[in-house]
Amino acid sequence: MSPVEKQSSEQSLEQTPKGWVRWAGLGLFLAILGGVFAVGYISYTLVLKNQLESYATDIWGAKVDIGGLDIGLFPIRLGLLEVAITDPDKPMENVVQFGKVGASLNFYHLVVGRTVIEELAIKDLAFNQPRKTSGKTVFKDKQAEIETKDSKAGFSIPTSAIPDFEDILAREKLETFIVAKKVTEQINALSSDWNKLEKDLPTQQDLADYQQEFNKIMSGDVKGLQDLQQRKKALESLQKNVQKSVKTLQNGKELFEKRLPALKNDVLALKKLPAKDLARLQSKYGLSKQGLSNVTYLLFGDEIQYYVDQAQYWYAKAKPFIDDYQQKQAIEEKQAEQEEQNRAFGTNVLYREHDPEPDFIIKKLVLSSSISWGELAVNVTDINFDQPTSKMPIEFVATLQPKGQTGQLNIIGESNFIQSGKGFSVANITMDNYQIKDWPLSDEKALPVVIKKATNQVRGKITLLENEKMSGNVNLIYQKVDFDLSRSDSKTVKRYIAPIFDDINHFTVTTKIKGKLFSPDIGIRSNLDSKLSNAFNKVIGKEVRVAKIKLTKAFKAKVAVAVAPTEEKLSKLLGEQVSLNKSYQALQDILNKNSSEYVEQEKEKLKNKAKKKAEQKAEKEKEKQRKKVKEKLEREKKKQADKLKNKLKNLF
Amino acid sequence: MATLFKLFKALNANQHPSQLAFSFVLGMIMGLTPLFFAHNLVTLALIFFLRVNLSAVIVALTVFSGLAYLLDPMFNQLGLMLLNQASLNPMFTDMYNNAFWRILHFNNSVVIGSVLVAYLLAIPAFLVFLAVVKSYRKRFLAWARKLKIVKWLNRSSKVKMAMGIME
Repeated sequence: MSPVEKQSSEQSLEQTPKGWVRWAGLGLFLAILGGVFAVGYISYTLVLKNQLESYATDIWGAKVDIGGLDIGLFPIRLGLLEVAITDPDKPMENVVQFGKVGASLNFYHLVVGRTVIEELAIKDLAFNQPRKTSGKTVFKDKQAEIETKDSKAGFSIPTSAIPDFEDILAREKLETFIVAKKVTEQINALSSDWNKLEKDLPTQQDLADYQQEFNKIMSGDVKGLQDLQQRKKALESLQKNVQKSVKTLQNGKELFEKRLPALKNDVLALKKLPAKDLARLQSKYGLSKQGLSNVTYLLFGDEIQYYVDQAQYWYAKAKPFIDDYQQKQAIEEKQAEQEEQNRAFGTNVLYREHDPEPDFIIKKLVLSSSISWGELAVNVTDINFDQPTSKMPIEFVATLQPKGQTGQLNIIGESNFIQSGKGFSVANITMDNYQIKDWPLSDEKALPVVIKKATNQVRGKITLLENEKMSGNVNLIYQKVDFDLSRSDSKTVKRYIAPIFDDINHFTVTTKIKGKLFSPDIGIRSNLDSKLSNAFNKVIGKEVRVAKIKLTKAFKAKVAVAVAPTEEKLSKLLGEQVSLNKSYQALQDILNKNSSEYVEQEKEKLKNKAKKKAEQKAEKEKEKQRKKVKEKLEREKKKQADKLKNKLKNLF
Repeated sequence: MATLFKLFKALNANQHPSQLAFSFVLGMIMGLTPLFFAHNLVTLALIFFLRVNLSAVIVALTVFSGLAYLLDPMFNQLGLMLLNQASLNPMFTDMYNNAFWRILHFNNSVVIGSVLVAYLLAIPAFLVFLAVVKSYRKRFLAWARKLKIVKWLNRSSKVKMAMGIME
């Protein structure tokens, strides 16, 4: 560098900066931020819609369509537009659809990782709307289908006013068949696993060959050390082959030992169920001694059963969503816990929150819609699934104002799972002044009971416990009742029953529901029974007895079909287990033969044999020597005797 | 390597010492504090917005990130001490209930400790870096330019070409 260049360079270093602000840089920064935000927003809306659809469809078991998403930032909101939920049993019908489901989210809670929805509003609700395309999915949950199968078929009061046994068996969800199906599935699964294993198991021929080879090695005299070594080699080679077979047998043994005991218990328990189910059926349908006079069930049973079925149906549909959420939350909590433990990065100091909330909560759900029954309004507060932490039960109020009625149906209740293991959901039902007009209780030709007019009042309370046991009491109070049985063709009905109905102008129907959620005992009683039972007994007494026999027979036949194969399959598997254990034991005997020990034993035997032989030879040799000496002595003796004889002879 | 060449180029001639010193300060802030946290968006915006030397930022970021690993326990202690101050509790409680502050993770002991240290050190560090750059240019550069090898390198067209490629 020349002195001139150096000087100019040094001067430039002392100059003021070229300018601090780089406007292009700021523009670039904002452009990058904007780009990231725009790409995130677009992909989020596109991906989220598809993910929500596929998630809901998977769990629901039929197609759930979402028309679009409505996402806004100020305030933060997420909306689903045109939501259509297919009826799994009728793929060409939407069981429910919404015009818009809009949720406003709390920004603060979103930042701290919680989903707190301030308000969820559902608009334009409609039930049972037709679909343009089928909403059937191939992966429909069959178990859910069984559990929630709609029993709308119900039973109509037959000519003789006795419930038909085939209807009863078709409509009832009997524990025997549910458990039998479950046990059959388990047995089939075990059989299938066993069949897969069986291919690799040694055949009877293989076992016989092993045994024969083993006997061949073990039998006969060992002819010497060379023979012994050959036998040892053969035994080791056989044991190597046997080892492979034993391994597969061991797998089979473990399979049976692990799963058969539980199956045996299940089959034993299954055997006891039919008696329980039959007793319940007879009692429920008035075929028991006490139930013969239960006329109320015959008249109101269909209606009440329908509502119970509906409640079960919606509960079963909602449950997978709740279970799935709770499972995911548990996994997330576990992961968060692990993450927290693995983190070597500072400590998050926690302060008191002004508005503590659980990880997921819908503070308010508002639904108002005009449906075919009337004006429906639902208000649910604090929907959250972590109540032991949040200490907030879900509270709900639903009102339905039927068209043309002054009174409205109110359902007020809560779902309280604050105390773990003691959770419950309770709903109080009230309705006043419901006007009934021309309500056909039974449209059966022989007993067409119609309430021409009446005023109805409903008071009820239904409780569902955490262990899926329910109890409930619903009273239907009918006043100013005017029955009409004039459409009956039966002379008996006209003679015995119609006059009694004429005298009744008020009655109360009491429904008691108790038991497991999906197979509850429903008891329906009313003061109608006492008034009508004598008359009914005259008409239906004989047929009740016949029906009882038929029901028992049909039930037993159905049970035989469902239960007998399980026993048969189980005993087959038990037989397989015994045979497997025998084979296993036989091979174990071969394996337990220690080749080195065997060689040592045989060596010992050979040694003993050789020793014995040597001793015998020595003994023989000794005997020979002894004989020789004896003969020699004899000869000497004889010689001496002869000598003496000769001497004596010479002497004399 | 290219970054280092660029840095030396800037050190040697074409950028004002205060801009270079400020670049080191920004790199130091990013290096000392946890990188992928919201407060560094401000630092990043400054890097884009102000005429700073990116190579100097990267070098400082690399050096101070390494240093931060050693200083993390100290940041943690300092952060904990500050966050647990009873007199500051009402203020921190209000901040804790505010989405903006929660985005900044102010309640993390390492975040607040390191941010506090980095920002407190910013002005003294600027002055130190400024002095170092000036001193480098005045003493080391003058001495280095007299070296035969540097003179040879300055004249060599091949080295200039290599430097050009790296740039």
